[in-house]
Amino acid sequence: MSEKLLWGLILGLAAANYLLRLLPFALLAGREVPPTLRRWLEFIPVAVLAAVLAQSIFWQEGGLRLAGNRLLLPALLTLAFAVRVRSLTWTLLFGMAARAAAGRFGG
Amino acid sequence: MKTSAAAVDRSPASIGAEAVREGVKDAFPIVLGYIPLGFAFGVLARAHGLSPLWATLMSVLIYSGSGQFIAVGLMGLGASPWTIVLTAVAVNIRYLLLSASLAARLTALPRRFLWLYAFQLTDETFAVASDRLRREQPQPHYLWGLNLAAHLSWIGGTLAGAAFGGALPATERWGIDFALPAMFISLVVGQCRRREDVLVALAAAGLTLLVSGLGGDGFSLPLAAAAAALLGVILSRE
Repeated sequence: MSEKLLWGLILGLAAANYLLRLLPFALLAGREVPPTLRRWLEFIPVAVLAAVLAQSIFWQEGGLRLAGNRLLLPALLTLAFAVRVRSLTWTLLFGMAARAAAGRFGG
Repeated sequence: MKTSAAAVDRSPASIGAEAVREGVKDAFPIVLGYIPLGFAFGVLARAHGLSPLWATLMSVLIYSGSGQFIAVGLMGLGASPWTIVLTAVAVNIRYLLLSASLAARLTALPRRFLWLYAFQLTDETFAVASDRLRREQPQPHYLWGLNLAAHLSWIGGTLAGAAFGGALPATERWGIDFALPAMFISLVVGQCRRREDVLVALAAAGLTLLVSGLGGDGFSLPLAAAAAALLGVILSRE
């Protein structure tokens, strides 16, 4: 990615993030969000995160990879760990250790 | 009359400084989490070819953990800038909810303060601030101390990670290439509080792979997320 494109991307991301945080202060102060819209918005984070997760595990080098996927075993182990230990930092460390161990044993 | 003890000085400046300190103190658990997470982001950004300067700039200007991790991950997948921005907006659309819930309680504060406050709003600082606002009147100095400490720890962690990340040999052997999936696993699990959340997560995962597989790679993430969230609304209505 060229330096110019990177600047554009970072400034675009910064502006988008800031607007999301600022707009309610400007527009929504004291008003109610319609309940259906509110519920839809509440489901957005889990939906987006799960979609990105699926892509990062199953989409490799521009194609779907199901059989012989080297990330699948570490992912399942990390999932089991995350359900028990609800800590971002520990899950991160566990996942990386699981991946490194799987890599040693022929992964 | 002049008193010598600093402790009895109740000038507005000293009350302000006291409130800032209190905010910084309440930020401690956030700082504890942001330093390693910022470090991981710095390492990951470096592994994707970004210099420490770029990585740190992202943490100063964007200041969103999930947004920055996703941006770097998608850059690695070769996604277009539009896809990256759209996806980051979709992930962070919850900021609208956080911000909206605080807006009602902070209307009395000066507009200039709110502009700065909104820039440093995160899930974690929101949690601490809204807990405090349940008990006390909003104090700009307190909120500023809280937000500044959190943001600086995120920036510092990123800088350290990006600086040392380059020195780590063969990142694959350390499982660094799995930092991103591991973080998403933890974030997804953290979001799954109800049965509907799990179903929405599964639907979103299946849909995005289906749409990508059919060749709609560019918009598969936001599309799948929007559709799966709609499913969640329908499911939770029953």
